[in-house]
Amino acid sequence: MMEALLKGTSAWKYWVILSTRTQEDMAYRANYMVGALFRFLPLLTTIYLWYAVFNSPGYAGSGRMGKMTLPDIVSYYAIMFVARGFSSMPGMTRDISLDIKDGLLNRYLIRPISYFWYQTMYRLAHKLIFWLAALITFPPVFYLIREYLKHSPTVLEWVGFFISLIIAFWTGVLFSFLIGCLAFWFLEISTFLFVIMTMEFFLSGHLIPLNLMPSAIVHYVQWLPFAYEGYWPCMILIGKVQPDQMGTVLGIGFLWVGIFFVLVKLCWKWGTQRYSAVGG
Amino acid sequence: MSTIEVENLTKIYRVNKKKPGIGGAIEAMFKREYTEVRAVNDVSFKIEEGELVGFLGPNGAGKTTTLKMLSGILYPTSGTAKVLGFTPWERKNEYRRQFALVMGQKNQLWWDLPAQESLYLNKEIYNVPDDEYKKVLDEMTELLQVKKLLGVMVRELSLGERMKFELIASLLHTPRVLLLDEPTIGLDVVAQKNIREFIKEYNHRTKTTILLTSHYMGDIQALCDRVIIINHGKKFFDGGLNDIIGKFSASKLISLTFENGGVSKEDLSQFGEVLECEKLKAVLKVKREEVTKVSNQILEKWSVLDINIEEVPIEEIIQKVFVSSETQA
Amino acid sequence: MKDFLRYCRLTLLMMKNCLIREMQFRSNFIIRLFTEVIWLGMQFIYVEVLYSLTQSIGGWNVWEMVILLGTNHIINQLFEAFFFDNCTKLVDQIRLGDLDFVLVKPINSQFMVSLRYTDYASITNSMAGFAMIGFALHKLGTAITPVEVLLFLLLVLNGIFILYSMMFCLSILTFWIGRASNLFELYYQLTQFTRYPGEIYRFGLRMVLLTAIPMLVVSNFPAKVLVGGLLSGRLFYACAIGVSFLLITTWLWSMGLKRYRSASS
Repeated sequence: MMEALLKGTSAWKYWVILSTRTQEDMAYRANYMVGALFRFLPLLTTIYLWYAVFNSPGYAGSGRMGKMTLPDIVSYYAIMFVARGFSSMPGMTRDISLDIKDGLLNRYLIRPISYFWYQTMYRLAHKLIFWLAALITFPPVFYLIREYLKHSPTVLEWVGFFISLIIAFWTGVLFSFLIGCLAFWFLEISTFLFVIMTMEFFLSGHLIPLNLMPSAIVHYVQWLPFAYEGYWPCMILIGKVQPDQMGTVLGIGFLWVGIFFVLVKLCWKWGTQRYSAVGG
Repeated sequence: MSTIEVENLTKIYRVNKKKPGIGGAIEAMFKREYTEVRAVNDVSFKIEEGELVGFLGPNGAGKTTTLKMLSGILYPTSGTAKVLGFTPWERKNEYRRQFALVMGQKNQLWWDLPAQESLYLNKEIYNVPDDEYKKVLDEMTELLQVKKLLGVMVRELSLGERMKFELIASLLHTPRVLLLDEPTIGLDVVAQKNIREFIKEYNHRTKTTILLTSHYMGDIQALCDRVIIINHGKKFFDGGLNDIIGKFSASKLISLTFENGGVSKEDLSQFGEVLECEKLKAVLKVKREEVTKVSNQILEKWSVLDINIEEVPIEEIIQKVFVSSETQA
Repeated sequence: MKDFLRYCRLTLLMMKNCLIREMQFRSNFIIRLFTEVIWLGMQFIYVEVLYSLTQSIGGWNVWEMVILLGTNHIINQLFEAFFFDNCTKLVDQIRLGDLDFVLVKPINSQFMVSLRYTDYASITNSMAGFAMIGFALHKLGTAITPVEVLLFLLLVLNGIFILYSMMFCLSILTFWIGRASNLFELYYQLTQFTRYPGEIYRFGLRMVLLTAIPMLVVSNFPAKVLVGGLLSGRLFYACAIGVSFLLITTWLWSMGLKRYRSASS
């Protein structure tokens, strides 16, 4: 029925891409569910570890740590799963760089499908599947740790959170695409890619909440685009962003998305020119 | 006791079936449908020591599956097999030390290393003593003319050279049984000839029992006196190559060269199937029993410069066997 | 005994082959060293943040934690060196039906598939772990006896075998359920539990991590040898776990082979 509705529109071709990908993933059912569930195990370690820190005899209650309580930390890491579920694009940069390197772009360049939108749709499909499985796996986990979810977000915080998730998705897609485009100019980008990935992992706040870093560093690091891939959505929802700051935080986020959008368009233009010149 | 004894060997596979589209994918998540494929269906045969037997059949016939069961790679669904007195799929080391498997489409040599490193590894795996290793290696590299290629990376060898080394690697431990799966596949004509000659010579010298599968008639014709034809997992024929002709070929070919023109297709068609008819030459397909009668009739009617009576090419015969076995299956 | 020596000889031969091969790809080697250093660095930062807030976690002070970190690093790197690649490649070999040649050779097939490839970058990387431990021991001012060194190494080996058993068993589940990429995710998540002191976990979970999924036996036990000592009962227990897990792999492997479907041609 869906097919009947969409056929004949340009969205149809994107739907086909979406559905093929969904089928691929469903084919390995047991495999998929297992993976989805076990991604939460680190949360367990986190809770116990930080609990041990907070309850250790030598615990220094003030200073850096005063910024986050145990419920804050646990909530932060839990919400990080959600945020990363929007911003992480595993394999996207590698796929793009391979398409460029192996000269496979040709089939996209001659079709009436923009390569960027093709990739975006592909990632969207991936996210859809992720979130379908997440609808089953996330609620029980959040229920289990409910005693740590102390903060009740205000309406503003909920709105801000959802907006920040959209920013997170676009930051992830655009940045990955941008790095992938480097393959137009550099032959072997895998080391660089790894360094970038590690930076992203670190600076998105995935490893440690950014505000626990030495204050000199936090100041700069929190305004980097990576912070929008995890840190800010989490901070908003656990109530660490004051209402008057919300506008600034989200504003800078949109600014970064805008900048990346322009950069992507430019790089794509220059890159495909070079690509065609070299002959693919 | 024969070297290879196979009785009622059967291998059945279950294959998943899926309906197309997302609906089908969701359905497949909850309920799986299967079909059964009989890759090998009740096959029996005996092979004696020193024989060189060919397994012939189209793709998917079941020849490789049978070979893999004799190598112990696969377990049969039912039936028995004994090679050198061992049940192959028990994978006893004693058995594995006495046979070798070479597959035309798969490499066992390490890709990024010189050929001799892979050969040395095999030597160690099979526990071949140093002096024997040297002797066998020298002999075979000489025979196959690859001695100077020992130090070359396997990835830089041509397909033919790689195949030669694959053979050498498998023969280092002088096996009593050699199983070959499509050994000349993908090779050029010269390489094919080399490999075939080597196999024939090796079998002659060492009296190793050799079983080879192929879908190339050329392999079979060059090497095997005895052929087993398989299709859809069933054995259709087991006997001499020449017997195939007698059993499956109902016709012979008569090639004619006329002195004068004017012999038309219609004129000849009363005698048999006209395959070719132009100017002064014609080719007729005639039933076996009628060959003599027809020949005489033609010779009486027209002035014939040359007449030649031949068998239908064996490829065609085999093709027909495959097709007819298709309808029987 | 003769058999054991033969397998040792074969292992060395395969390691030699891998070395010859790797020497052709030197740049890759250097990249690997680089990336592992970064990864280790991140773990350091995490520990630094944790210990900027407190003096002891689960009874381990900062240098003791470094010893645990170093031990874990050594075990993980050596596991990666000898077994990780083999397990990941095994998944494809099973799926694509590429085990034929392993099955026809007169050699233990599990041995062949487990030790075929060696990763030299990881071997080099593991040295960092030893350096870390040495440094931490110096800071703590503890003197270590030769016996303790031996016990440490024995338990490190034991830890590697436990990791091997886990990953190997997960890899060969491919015989039953096709693509196993998410199972490597499971392996990765479970091994996170090897990183931190067992004391932080509550009783129930700790019991699980000492028995059914013995992550704590992997790194905690060898580290404990150097930090305050390990009871001999625990030592025997650890080895018993290691041996039983290895036996489980052999059993599961033979079960899996029965389901092996060679690639069609």
